[in-house]
Amino acid sequence: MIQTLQTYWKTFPPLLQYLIIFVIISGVAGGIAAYLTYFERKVLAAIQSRIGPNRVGRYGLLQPIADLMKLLQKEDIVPLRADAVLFRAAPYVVFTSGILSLVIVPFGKGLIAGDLHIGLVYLIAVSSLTVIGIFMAGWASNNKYSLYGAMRSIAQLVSYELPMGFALLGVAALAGSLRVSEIIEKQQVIWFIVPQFLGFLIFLITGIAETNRTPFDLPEAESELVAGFTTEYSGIRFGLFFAAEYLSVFIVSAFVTAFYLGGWLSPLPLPLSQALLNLTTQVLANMGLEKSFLPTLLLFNSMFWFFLKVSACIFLLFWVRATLPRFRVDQLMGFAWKILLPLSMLNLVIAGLEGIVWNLFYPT
Amino acid sequence: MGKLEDRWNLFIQKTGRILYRFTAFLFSLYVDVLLGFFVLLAGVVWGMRKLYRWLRAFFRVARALFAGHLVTLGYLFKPKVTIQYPFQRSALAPYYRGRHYLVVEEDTGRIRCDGCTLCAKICPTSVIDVFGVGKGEERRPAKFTVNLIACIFCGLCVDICPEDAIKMVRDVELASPWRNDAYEHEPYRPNVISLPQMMIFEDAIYPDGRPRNKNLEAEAAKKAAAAAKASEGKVASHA
Repeated sequence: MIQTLQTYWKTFPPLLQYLIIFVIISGVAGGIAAYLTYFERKVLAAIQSRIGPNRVGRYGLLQPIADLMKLLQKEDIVPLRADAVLFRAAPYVVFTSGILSLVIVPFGKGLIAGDLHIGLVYLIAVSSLTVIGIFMAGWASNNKYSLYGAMRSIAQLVSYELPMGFALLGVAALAGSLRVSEIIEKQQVIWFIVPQFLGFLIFLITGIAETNRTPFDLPEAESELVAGFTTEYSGIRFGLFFAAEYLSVFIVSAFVTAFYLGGWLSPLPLPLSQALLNLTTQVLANMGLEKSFLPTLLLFNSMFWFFLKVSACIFLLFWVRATLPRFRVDQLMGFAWKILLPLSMLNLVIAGLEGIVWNLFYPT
Repeated sequence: MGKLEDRWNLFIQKTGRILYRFTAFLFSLYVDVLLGFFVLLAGVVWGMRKLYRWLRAFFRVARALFAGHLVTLGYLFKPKVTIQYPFQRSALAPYYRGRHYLVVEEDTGRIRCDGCTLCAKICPTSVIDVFGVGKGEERRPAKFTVNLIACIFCGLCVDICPEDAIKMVRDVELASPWRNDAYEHEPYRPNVISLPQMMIFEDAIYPDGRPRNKNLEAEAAKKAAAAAKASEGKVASHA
């Protein structure tokens, strides 16, 4: 199945290939963002002893679509004194930076849109692009709450970039590579969450901060700043900011999975997973499927484990949101510079020592 | 070159100075090292204290965070408190004071109220408007309205009524699309009650106005059954 697809794929002109990839990625991004809102509302509701959306469709499953329809129908207001061009462009910048990170998300074994050899650097570079969009929105709105929100957001994102980069350096040092797929393959020995537990915590915390979510939601703190940099936005432009937030939740979870939880690798011990795979191929062969189905099966297997781990991570983020209150601004900056940054440097030292031990047992 | 003695003296002088300087150097080194050691010790102690305090605070915070997350996780598995209103209703107290209604005599089919206006007089918010027509036994209210917007549902009208003619139903759905329905609400008479309201009504009160409690009724039935059984057993034992 995959082979036939690949042969067809090679006959397509490059432009068509790009177009297809673009459509798939935007669809995946939109779908993920839309249904994460549903998932979050359900999880939050359950933790608060409520039911959550259950009116539109069975179990409220069509709620995100209804919300999208509502946002599309609403009036797209541009304030009179706003900088109209910047104001209109900002949501696209924010959302596009999310989609750009999606390029190196390893959905399954061999299912990466672009497996860059500088994947880690690319991730850090692209995830900082959000700042530009947010400041465009805050500045162009010509509203003090928007501006406050945007400035807080920039201070926060720039501060939390540093520990995040140091935490990722630990991963790169252990894996000996910046390519996402190689980092994941290196974790066949042991998931990096074990040797890099401190790095995992730092990456998780900075990841939550990068997504502008509780307890780091100062840029859009509704009790202080109305709605932060999204105050003046309405309709689908607000929806784009919203979608970008949930997309970044997915991306953070995906990279926590890829860098610390073994990505698409199965958590089962190797003999057991091998036996399961043999059993499945046997069953499939008895059902009359060809041997050539095996690569597809492996792909689905890896995708299953990846999405399971990502769902667990996303649940963790929602759980954190349901539990913790918001930071104070000075505490926020102090936490980044005085606690997380030294800890991440310590983590880098630990990673170096571990790398020496690692090389003793598994020389490259 | 002087005499040997001079040269000797000079030698002694120079060596002595060198020895003195060397000794002084060694002594100062010793003092430095000693002082340095103490300073270092103090620094290490201070640093360890600081580290200990930092770590203690860190683990306290970590433990608090963990405990908090466990609490919220516990709520994830607790039953939901939501009542989905039009489909589910919360139980009202058996004596709940809701919408008013006027009792109808079963034999004559007429309302009991004779328009004495006592209820209108005792009403603390003056929401009842009664106008009685006729003489003696024939006297009946031509108009009996309650302003449900201002009513505080204190139940004084029910208590004061000498004929037990006005009662309250366990009906809390007082919303209406027309304002006049609320301002000049004509209390139910049982023969104009629509079906679902009738069900609430039946559940709440007996036709004569006594509140009915299904649980109590069931308990009474059980007790009666038990008593009957016991008496049967007694009879059997006697026999």
